[in-house]
Amino acid sequence: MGYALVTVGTTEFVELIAAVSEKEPLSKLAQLGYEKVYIQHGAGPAPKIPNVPIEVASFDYMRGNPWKTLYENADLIISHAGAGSCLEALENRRRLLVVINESLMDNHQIELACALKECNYLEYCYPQTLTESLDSITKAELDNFEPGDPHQINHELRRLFCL
Amino acid sequence: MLAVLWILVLFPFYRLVKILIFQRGKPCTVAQRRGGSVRVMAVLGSGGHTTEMLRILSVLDNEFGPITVVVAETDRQSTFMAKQKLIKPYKLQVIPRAREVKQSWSSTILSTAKAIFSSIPVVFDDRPDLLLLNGPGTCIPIVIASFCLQLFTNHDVKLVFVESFCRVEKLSLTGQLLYPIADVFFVQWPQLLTKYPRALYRGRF
Repeated sequence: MGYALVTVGTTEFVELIAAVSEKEPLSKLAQLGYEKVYIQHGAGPAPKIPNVPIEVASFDYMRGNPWKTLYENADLIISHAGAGSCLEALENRRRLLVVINESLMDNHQIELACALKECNYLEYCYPQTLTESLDSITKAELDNFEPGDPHQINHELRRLFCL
Repeated sequence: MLAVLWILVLFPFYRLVKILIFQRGKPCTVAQRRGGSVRVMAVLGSGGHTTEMLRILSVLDNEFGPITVVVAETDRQSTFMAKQKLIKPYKLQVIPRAREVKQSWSSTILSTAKAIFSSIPVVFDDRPDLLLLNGPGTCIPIVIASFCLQLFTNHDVKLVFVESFCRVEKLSLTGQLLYPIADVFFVQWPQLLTKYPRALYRGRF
Protein backbone atom coordinates (compact mmCIF):
# COMPACT_ATOMS: atom_id res chain seq x y z
CA MET A 1 0.00 0.00 0.00
CA GLY A 2 1.07 3.59 -0.61
CA TYR A 3 1.06 6.69 1.51
CA ALA A 4 -1.23 8.98 3.47
CA LEU A 5 -1.17 12.76 3.08
CA VAL A 6 -2.18 15.11 5.86
CA THR A 7 -2.99 18.63 4.67
CA VAL A 8 -4.17 21.83 6.38
CA GLY A 9 -4.25 24.01 3.25
CA THR A 10 -3.13 27.63 3.33
CA THR A 11 -3.92 28.26 7.01
CA GLU A 12 -2.96 26.37 10.15
CA PHE A 13 -4.72 23.66 12.09
CA VAL A 14 -2.50 23.04 15.10
CA GLU A 15 -4.87 20.50 16.72
CA LEU A 16 -4.86 18.26 13.63
CA ILE A 17 -1.07 18.35 13.27
CA ALA A 18 -0.64 17.65 17.00
CA ALA A 19 -3.15 14.79 16.88
CA VAL A 20 -1.65 13.13 13.82
CA SER A 21 1.94 13.31 15.01
CA GLU A 22 1.22 11.17 18.11
CA LYS A 23 2.40 7.60 18.43
CA GLU A 24 -1.07 5.96 18.19
CA PRO A 25 -2.32 7.33 14.87
CA LEU A 26 1.05 6.88 13.18
CA SER A 27 1.34 3.29 14.41
CA LYS A 28 -2.23 2.74 13.31
CA LEU A 29 -1.37 3.92 9.80
CA ALA A 30 1.61 1.54 9.75
CA GLN A 31 -0.60 -1.29 10.96
CA LEU A 32 -3.17 -0.52 8.24
CA GLY A 33 -0.43 -0.97 5.68
CA TYR A 34 0.56 2.57 4.74
CA GLU A 35 4.25 2.90 4.04
CA LYS A 36 4.71 6.62 4.45
CA VAL A 37 2.95 9.71 5.81
CA TYR A 38 3.37 13.21 4.42
CA ILE A 39 2.36 16.03 6.74
CA GLN A 40 1.72 19.47 5.26
CA HIS A 41 1.47 21.68 8.34
CA GLY A 42 0.98 25.11 6.73
CA ALA A 43 1.47 28.18 8.91
CA GLY A 44 1.55 26.13 12.14
CA PRO A 45 4.73 24.76 13.75
CA ALA A 46 6.42 21.67 12.31
CA PRO A 47 5.47 18.53 14.26
CA LYS A 48 7.92 16.53 16.40
CA ILE A 49 7.71 12.97 15.20
CA PRO A 50 7.97 10.17 17.80
CA ASN A 51 9.77 6.94 17.09
CA VAL A 52 7.28 4.99 14.97
CA PRO A 53 7.43 2.09 12.50
CA ILE A 54 6.43 4.28 9.53
CA GLU A 55 8.30 6.84 7.48
CA VAL A 56 7.11 10.41 8.11
CA ALA A 57 7.95 13.55 6.09
CA SER A 58 6.69 16.99 7.03
CA PHE A 59 6.78 20.34 5.22
CA ASP A 60 4.90 23.64 5.42
CA TYR A 61 3.80 24.12 1.82
CA MET A 62 4.41 22.52 -1.56
CA ARG A 63 3.22 24.07 -4.80
CA GLY A 64 2.77 23.32 -8.47
CA ASN A 65 3.39 19.96 -10.03
CA PRO A 66 5.18 18.24 -7.11
CA TRP A 67 2.13 18.95 -4.92
CA LYS A 68 -0.25 17.83 -7.65
CA THR A 69 1.58 14.55 -8.08
CA LEU A 70 1.75 13.95 -4.35
CA TYR A 71 -1.93 14.76 -3.93
CA GLU A 72 -3.24 12.81 -6.88
CA ASN A 73 -1.43 9.65 -5.89
CA ALA A 74 -2.16 9.61 -2.17
CA ASP A 75 -4.06 6.54 -0.99
CA LEU A 76 -5.55 8.47 1.87
CA ILE A 77 -5.96 12.21 2.31
CA ILE A 78 -6.50 13.54 5.80
CA SER A 79 -7.65 17.10 5.32
CA HIS A 80 -9.10 20.14 7.05
CA ALA A 81 -12.75 20.83 6.12
CA GLY A 82 -12.03 23.58 3.58
CA ALA A 83 -14.48 23.31 0.69
CA GLY A 84 -11.78 23.63 -1.95
CA SER A 85 -9.71 20.84 -0.43
CA CYS A 86 -12.71 18.53 -0.02
CA LEU A 87 -13.77 19.00 -3.62
CA GLU A 88 -10.24 18.64 -4.94
CA ALA A 89 -9.80 15.34 -3.14
CA LEU A 90 -13.17 13.98 -4.26
CA GLU A 91 -12.76 15.11 -7.86
CA ASN A 92 -9.45 13.28 -7.90
CA ARG A 93 -11.25 10.22 -6.50
CA ARG A 94 -9.12 10.13 -3.36
CA ARG A 95 -10.10 8.39 -0.14
CA LEU A 96 -10.78 11.35 2.12
CA LEU A 97 -10.97 11.78 5.88
CA VAL A 98 -11.97 15.31 6.86
CA VAL A 99 -10.92 16.49 10.30
CA ILE A 100 -13.19 19.17 11.69
CA ASN A 101 -11.70 22.20 13.38
CA GLU A 102 -13.97 22.84 16.35
CA SER A 103 -12.70 26.35 16.84
CA LEU A 104 -14.48 27.15 13.57
CA MET A 105 -17.67 25.42 14.68
CA ASP A 106 -20.17 27.73 12.98
CA ASN A 107 -18.29 27.56 9.72
CA HIS A 108 -20.36 26.51 6.71
CA GLN A 109 -17.54 24.24 5.59
CA ILE A 110 -18.56 21.78 8.29
CA GLU A 111 -22.05 21.65 6.79
CA LEU A 112 -20.50 20.68 3.49
CA ALA A 113 -18.36 17.93 5.04
CA CYS A 114 -21.42 16.51 6.86
CA ALA A 115 -23.55 16.62 3.71
CA LEU A 116 -20.84 14.87 1.70
CA LYS A 117 -20.60 12.20 4.37
CA GLU A 118 -24.39 11.68 4.15
CA CYS A 119 -23.80 10.96 0.45
CA ASN A 120 -21.09 8.45 1.41
CA TYR A 121 -18.33 10.33 -0.41
CA LEU A 122 -16.04 10.77 2.59
CA GLU A 123 -15.79 10.38 6.35
CA TYR A 124 -15.15 13.02 8.93
CA CYS A 125 -13.89 13.09 12.49
CA TYR A 126 -12.45 15.39 15.14
CA PRO A 127 -8.79 15.61 16.18
CA GLN A 128 -9.63 13.54 19.32
CA THR A 129 -11.17 10.68 17.33
CA LEU A 130 -8.55 10.55 14.59
CA THR A 131 -7.02 7.15 15.43
CA GLU A 132 -10.33 5.23 15.35
CA SER A 133 -11.39 7.00 12.19
CA LEU A 134 -8.22 5.96 10.36
CA ASP A 135 -9.43 2.40 10.69
CA SER A 136 -12.93 3.03 9.38
CA ILE A 137 -11.89 5.31 6.50
CA THR A 138 -9.34 2.80 5.25
CA LYS A 139 -11.91 0.00 5.25
CA ALA A 140 -14.91 2.10 4.16
CA GLU A 141 -16.62 1.40 0.85
CA LEU A 142 -17.21 4.92 -0.39
CA ASP A 143 -19.17 6.01 -3.43
CA ASN A 144 -17.48 7.75 -6.33
CA PHE A 145 -18.03 11.47 -6.59
CA GLU A 146 -19.36 11.94 -10.11
CA PRO A 147 -18.76 15.30 -11.80
CA GLY A 148 -21.69 17.75 -11.77
CA ASP A 149 -23.76 18.64 -14.82
CA PRO A 150 -23.77 22.36 -15.76
CA HIS A 151 -25.95 21.60 -18.82
CA GLN A 152 -28.97 21.77 -16.51
CA ILE A 153 -28.39 25.51 -16.21
CA ASN A 154 -28.29 25.87 -19.99
CA HIS A 155 -31.60 24.01 -20.15
CA GLU A 156 -33.28 26.31 -17.63
CA LEU A 157 -31.87 29.42 -19.32
CA ARG A 158 -33.27 28.30 -22.67
CA ARG A 159 -36.65 28.04 -21.03
CA LEU A 160 -36.28 31.49 -19.43
CA PHE A 161 -35.55 33.03 -22.81
CA CYS A 162 -38.17 30.96 -24.69
CA LEU A 163 -35.53 29.35 -26.90
CA MET B 1 -40.91 69.96 -13.75
CA LEU B 2 -43.30 67.27 -14.89
CA ALA B 3 -40.65 65.86 -17.19
CA VAL B 4 -38.14 65.63 -14.33
CA LEU B 5 -40.73 63.93 -12.14
CA TRP B 6 -41.43 61.46 -14.91
CA ILE B 7 -37.78 60.67 -15.63
CA LEU B 8 -36.59 60.44 -12.04
CA VAL B 9 -39.60 59.10 -10.16
CA LEU B 10 -42.60 57.82 -12.06
CA PHE B 11 -40.86 55.93 -14.84
CA PRO B 12 -38.33 54.24 -12.52
CA PHE B 13 -41.16 53.34 -10.14
CA TYR B 14 -43.21 51.86 -12.96
CA ARG B 15 -40.13 49.89 -14.07
CA LEU B 16 -39.40 48.68 -10.54
CA VAL B 17 -42.92 47.35 -10.10
CA LYS B 18 -42.79 45.75 -13.52
CA ILE B 19 -39.42 44.08 -12.96
CA LEU B 20 -39.85 42.85 -9.42
CA ILE B 21 -43.57 42.07 -9.31
CA PHE B 22 -44.87 41.31 -12.78
CA GLN B 23 -41.83 40.00 -14.62
CA ARG B 24 -39.65 38.39 -11.97
CA GLY B 25 -38.89 34.83 -12.99
CA LYS B 26 -41.23 34.97 -15.99
CA PRO B 27 -39.95 33.86 -19.41
CA CYS B 28 -39.06 36.67 -21.79
CA THR B 29 -39.08 36.83 -25.55
CA VAL B 30 -36.17 39.21 -26.16
CA ALA B 31 -34.20 36.51 -27.95
CA GLN B 32 -36.98 35.87 -30.46
CA ARG B 33 -37.25 39.58 -31.17
CA ARG B 34 -33.53 39.78 -31.77
CA GLY B 35 -33.06 36.75 -34.00
CA GLY B 36 -32.31 34.24 -31.29
CA SER B 37 -29.44 35.80 -29.43
CA VAL B 38 -29.18 36.58 -25.73
CA ARG B 39 -26.50 39.02 -24.60
CA VAL B 40 -24.81 37.56 -21.55
CA MET B 41 -22.82 39.24 -18.82
CA ALA B 42 -21.12 37.02 -16.26
CA VAL B 43 -19.14 38.15 -13.23
CA LEU B 44 -16.16 36.04 -12.18
CA GLY B 45 -15.93 36.05 -8.40
CA SER B 46 -12.58 34.51 -7.52
CA GLY B 47 -11.12 31.04 -6.86
CA GLY B 48 -13.82 28.39 -6.66
CA HIS B 49 -16.54 30.81 -7.82
CA THR B 50 -14.60 31.50 -11.00
CA THR B 51 -14.07 27.79 -11.67
CA GLU B 52 -17.81 27.11 -11.30
CA MET B 53 -18.78 30.06 -13.50
CA LEU B 54 -16.37 29.11 -16.30
CA ARG B 55 -17.78 25.58 -16.31
CA ILE B 56 -21.27 27.03 -16.75
CA LEU B 57 -20.27 29.49 -19.50
CA SER B 58 -18.49 26.72 -21.40
CA VAL B 59 -21.65 24.66 -21.83
CA LEU B 60 -24.05 27.47 -22.81
CA ASP B 61 -25.56 27.07 -26.28
CA ASN B 62 -24.56 29.43 -29.10
CA GLU B 63 -27.73 31.51 -28.69
CA PHE B 64 -26.17 32.80 -25.49
CA GLY B 65 -23.81 35.37 -26.90
CA PRO B 66 -22.03 37.68 -27.16
CA ILE B 67 -20.60 37.04 -23.71
CA THR B 68 -19.07 39.73 -21.55
CA VAL B 69 -16.96 38.52 -18.63
CA VAL B 70 -16.45 40.95 -15.75
CA VAL B 71 -13.54 40.59 -13.34
CA ALA B 72 -12.29 42.64 -10.41
CA GLU B 73 -9.18 44.67 -11.09
CA THR B 74 -7.00 42.86 -8.56
CA ASP B 75 -8.16 39.39 -9.54
CA ARG B 76 -5.46 38.40 -12.04
CA GLN B 77 -6.09 34.73 -11.32
CA SER B 78 -9.66 34.88 -12.73
CA THR B 79 -8.49 36.66 -15.88
CA PHE B 80 -5.86 33.98 -16.34
CA MET B 81 -8.35 31.15 -15.72
CA ALA B 82 -10.81 32.62 -18.23
CA LYS B 83 -8.09 32.80 -20.85
CA GLN B 84 -7.20 29.18 -20.22
CA LYS B 85 -10.59 27.55 -19.80
CA LEU B 86 -13.11 29.59 -21.79
CA ILE B 87 -12.59 28.63 -25.40
CA LYS B 88 -15.53 30.55 -26.87
CA PRO B 89 -15.29 34.26 -27.81
CA TYR B 90 -15.89 36.69 -24.98
CA LYS B 91 -15.17 40.27 -24.08
CA LEU B 92 -13.32 41.06 -20.86
CA GLN B 93 -14.33 44.04 -18.70
CA VAL B 94 -12.47 45.07 -15.57
CA ILE B 95 -14.02 46.89 -12.61
CA PRO B 96 -12.38 47.99 -9.34
CA ARG B 97 -13.03 45.72 -6.39
CA ALA B 98 -15.70 46.88 -3.94
CA ARG B 99 -13.93 45.48 -0.94
CA GLU B 100 -10.60 43.80 -0.38
CA VAL B 101 -10.30 41.23 2.40
CA LYS B 102 -9.61 43.02 5.71
CA GLN B 103 -10.40 46.47 4.32
CA SER B 104 -11.97 48.79 6.91
CA TRP B 105 -15.70 49.51 6.60
CA SER B 106 -15.30 53.27 6.20
CA SER B 107 -13.03 52.97 3.18
CA THR B 108 -15.29 50.18 1.90
CA ILE B 109 -18.06 52.73 1.36
CA LEU B 110 -15.79 54.83 -0.84
CA SER B 111 -14.45 51.89 -2.84
CA THR B 112 -17.96 50.45 -3.28
CA ALA B 113 -19.12 53.78 -4.69
CA LYS B 114 -16.14 53.71 -7.05
CA ALA B 115 -16.98 50.14 -8.10
CA ILE B 116 -20.62 51.04 -8.78
CA PHE B 117 -19.56 54.13 -10.71
CA SER B 118 -17.34 52.13 -13.03
CA SER B 119 -19.89 49.31 -13.36
CA ILE B 120 -22.44 51.65 -14.89
CA PRO B 121 -20.66 52.21 -18.24
CA VAL B 122 -19.83 48.49 -18.40
CA VAL B 123 -23.49 47.52 -18.05
CA PHE B 124 -24.90 50.41 -20.13
CA ASP B 125 -22.48 49.74 -23.02
CA ASP B 126 -23.19 46.04 -23.35
CA ARG B 127 -26.86 46.12 -22.22
CA PRO B 128 -26.97 42.43 -21.25
CA ASP B 129 -30.22 40.45 -21.39
CA LEU B 130 -28.88 37.93 -18.92
CA LEU B 131 -26.76 38.64 -15.88
CA LEU B 132 -25.17 35.46 -14.64
CA LEU B 133 -23.76 35.54 -11.10
CA ASN B 134 -22.49 33.10 -8.52
CA GLY B 135 -20.98 35.34 -5.84
CA PRO B 136 -19.16 36.59 -3.87
CA GLY B 137 -19.81 40.28 -3.21
CA THR B 138 -17.79 41.54 -6.19
CA CYS B 139 -20.92 41.12 -8.31
CA ILE B 140 -23.08 43.52 -6.28
CA PRO B 141 -21.92 46.74 -8.04
CA ILE B 142 -22.81 45.12 -11.38
CA VAL B 143 -26.25 44.21 -10.01
CA ILE B 144 -26.80 47.81 -8.91
CA ALA B 145 -25.69 49.09 -12.32
CA SER B 146 -28.04 46.64 -14.04
CA PHE B 147 -30.91 47.98 -11.93
CA CYS B 148 -30.02 51.51 -12.99
CA LEU B 149 -30.18 50.33 -16.58
CA GLN B 150 -33.56 48.70 -16.01
CA LEU B 151 -35.07 51.57 -14.03
CA PHE B 152 -34.02 54.40 -16.30
CA THR B 153 -34.42 52.66 -19.64
CA ASN B 154 -36.85 50.14 -21.02
CA HIS B 155 -34.23 47.39 -21.19
CA ASP B 156 -34.87 44.19 -19.20
CA VAL B 157 -32.07 42.19 -17.58
CA LYS B 158 -32.75 38.70 -16.29
CA LEU B 159 -30.76 38.05 -13.13
CA VAL B 160 -29.70 34.47 -12.60
CA PHE B 161 -27.78 33.50 -9.48
CA VAL B 162 -26.08 30.15 -8.91
CA GLU B 163 -25.39 29.49 -5.24
CA SER B 164 -22.13 27.72 -4.50
CA PHE B 165 -22.04 23.94 -3.96
CA CYS B 166 -20.43 24.76 -0.60
CA ARG B 167 -23.73 26.13 0.75
CA VAL B 168 -25.77 23.28 2.18
CA GLU B 169 -28.05 24.67 4.90
CA LYS B 170 -27.73 28.43 4.52
CA LEU B 171 -27.24 30.79 1.61
CA SER B 172 -24.14 32.93 1.28
CA LEU B 173 -24.50 36.61 2.14
CA THR B 174 -24.59 37.53 -1.55
CA GLY B 175 -27.15 34.77 -2.11
CA GLN B 176 -29.38 36.11 0.67
CA LEU B 177 -29.19 39.59 -0.83
CA LEU B 178 -30.03 38.45 -4.35
CA TYR B 179 -32.64 35.76 -3.55
CA PRO B 180 -35.56 38.24 -3.46
CA ILE B 181 -34.67 39.90 -6.75
CA ALA B 182 -33.22 37.09 -8.86
CA ASP B 183 -35.29 35.74 -11.75
CA VAL B 184 -33.81 32.30 -11.34
CA PHE B 185 -31.95 31.24 -8.22
CA PHE B 186 -30.14 27.90 -8.40
CA VAL B 187 -29.05 25.97 -5.33
CA GLN B 188 -26.97 22.81 -5.41
CA TRP B 189 -28.41 21.03 -2.36
CA PRO B 190 -32.11 20.07 -2.02
CA GLN B 191 -32.06 20.90 1.72
CA LEU B 192 -32.14 24.59 0.83
CA LEU B 193 -35.49 24.32 -0.94
CA THR B 194 -37.52 24.14 2.28
CA LYS B 195 -36.13 27.47 3.45
CA TYR B 196 -35.95 29.04 -0.01
CA PRO B 197 -38.93 27.73 -1.99
CA ARG B 198 -38.32 30.02 -4.99
CA ALA B 199 -34.93 28.40 -5.57
CA LEU B 200 -34.37 25.74 -8.22
CA TYR B 201 -32.51 22.52 -7.53
CA ARG B 202 -31.25 20.75 -10.65
CA GLY B 203 -28.50 18.63 -9.14
CA ARG B 204 -24.88 19.63 -8.84
CA PHE B 205 -23.32 21.66 -11.63
